[in-house]
Amino acid sequence: MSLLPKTWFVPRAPLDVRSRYFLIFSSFLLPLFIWSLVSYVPQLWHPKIEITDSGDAGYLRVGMLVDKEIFYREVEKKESEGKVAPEGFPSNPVYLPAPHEVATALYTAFTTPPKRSNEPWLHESLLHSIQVIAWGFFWAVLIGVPLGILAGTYEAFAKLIEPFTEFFRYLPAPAFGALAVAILGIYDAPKIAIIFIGTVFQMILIVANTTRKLSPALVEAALTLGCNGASLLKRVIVPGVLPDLYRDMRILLGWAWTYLIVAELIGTSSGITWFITQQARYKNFDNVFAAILIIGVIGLVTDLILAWLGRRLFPWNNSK
Amino acid sequence: MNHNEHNPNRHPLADLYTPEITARFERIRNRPVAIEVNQLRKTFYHKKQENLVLGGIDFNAHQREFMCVVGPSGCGKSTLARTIAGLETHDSGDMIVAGSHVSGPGPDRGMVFQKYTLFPWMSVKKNVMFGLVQSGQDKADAERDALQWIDLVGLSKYAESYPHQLSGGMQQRVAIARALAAQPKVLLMDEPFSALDPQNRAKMQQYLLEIWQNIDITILFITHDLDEAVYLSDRVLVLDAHPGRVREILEVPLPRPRPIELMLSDEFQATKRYLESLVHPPITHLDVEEKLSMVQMVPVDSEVPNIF
Repeated sequence: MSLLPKTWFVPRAPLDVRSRYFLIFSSFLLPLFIWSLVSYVPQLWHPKIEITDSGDAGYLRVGMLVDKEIFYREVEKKESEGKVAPEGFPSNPVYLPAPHEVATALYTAFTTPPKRSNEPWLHESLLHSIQVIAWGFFWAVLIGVPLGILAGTYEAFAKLIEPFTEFFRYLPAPAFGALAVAILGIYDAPKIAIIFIGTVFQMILIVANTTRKLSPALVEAALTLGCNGASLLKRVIVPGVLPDLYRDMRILLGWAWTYLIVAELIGTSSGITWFITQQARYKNFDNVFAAILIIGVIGLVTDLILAWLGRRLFPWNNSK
Repeated sequence: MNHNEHNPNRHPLADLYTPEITARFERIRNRPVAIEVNQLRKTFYHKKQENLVLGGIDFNAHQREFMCVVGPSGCGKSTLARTIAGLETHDSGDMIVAGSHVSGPGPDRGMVFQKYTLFPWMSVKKNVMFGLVQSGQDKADAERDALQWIDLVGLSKYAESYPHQLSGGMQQRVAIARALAAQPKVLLMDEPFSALDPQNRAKMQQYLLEIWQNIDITILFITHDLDEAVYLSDRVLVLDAHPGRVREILEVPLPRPRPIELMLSDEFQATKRYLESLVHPPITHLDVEEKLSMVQMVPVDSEVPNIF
């Protein structure tokens, strides 16, 4: 263990600054390193051969990927027949592009115009996705937060709201796709509805639980100061749970993104999902990876911004 | 209380009642009643088991009196304060505070809790303003009043601080200011200093007495610390446990004002010993369940074979 700093293995002990940044970078660099190993070290995996010269094997084309087994059998066959053997080099399957290919794709995806003039650019697709998420999440917050706070404050509301919500949250949101299209048409409305359905029921339950965690002593103190009813909600319960509520919303926003992909397949395929399926169809897996990475980056950056904003908004909560 | 020398049931502390002290209690008895509790009963239900916590409590507290409530654990002293505050329901009996029957919490009965209950999202000033704003006072007035109360508890420097920036003792001082700012008739205090270290606690007790002397407030103070009870109280309400009943209401035979040195006096110690005998009956033998089944576990050849 002397190789690594001792503090790494003390339970719940704070890390020194250098270790902290080192580990944060490693957290991203390690997966990238493994990906690079698999991509650039042929001995590791590379189950395919990319043909550079088809030789006398007529059915092999330059640039084609064939299984190693088939390739070597062909080479042996051609050699034994005295003909020109095909040539090629080890390669990974098309669905695992190398890091540099994805990096290039990440750049070119934004600079390449769409194949057809009526198709959206990548950034337009992304913007559309973000709009769908924003609307779905907005409606979920508008309905879910008030209901959750009521359920968390009053036992009566909890008993009225929570049992049905518990039931409904097990119904998979995508199952409502066809219904949503029938009711709301084929454009954005059913997609927003799927994100709403996928998020709102979890939101009610999580907000209710968060509200219940507010110290009852604070509520009692307020009661003895003459504060009750709507005034209690407004002056004590809502401000008291706000920082935790904010954190819940950050987590739930992540959930909304997971429903996005399903939602965008409903009706007319659109947004980033349309881009991904389209690129997968052309076997441009570097573009597929690029698009998936972009979603991850957007999610992470949004969350970091929200976390930073949260510390600004609730300075009194920093001590916790 | 009977102070007759020839009565065999003469109170053990009878000798301590000087004429001045007796006269003071006479004056207190003639004041209007601030808290009247009649036959108060309260049962808790837990897993279909009934537990009678308060088995018919009767007592009065007079205006501007300082009354402590002591008793063995489980005697329902906290429950009593919470019931008077309106935070707990009761089965039967009634409570009259400053002329009106208690039904639910209200600003006429302020409360200070054992836990720190300042609103963490509000500055000290906003916390103290809370009750004032609630009663409809306009912002500027409330702010002026709040600052006066904060000054009274000696925390003017911290008016704009958040609770988490204050020590435990300071937080409780703000909690007292917040409760008093709402102008309650009585102040219920549920072991408010029990989380503080002894030094801070002694300081808080003196602060509290000083505040109490200078404003029109009746205090019902729950504690398990008998020193605290004797030092603070005019009268001590001693409760029995299972169910909680009034054992005795003791008039503390100590003059006022009470300097801190008074705690070392014979009168103080005698009063405390007497309370001790009421609250914790002498232990003759440990219950079988309470006895630890210990055997000598130190090797005989140990370097330190025993602790003596």
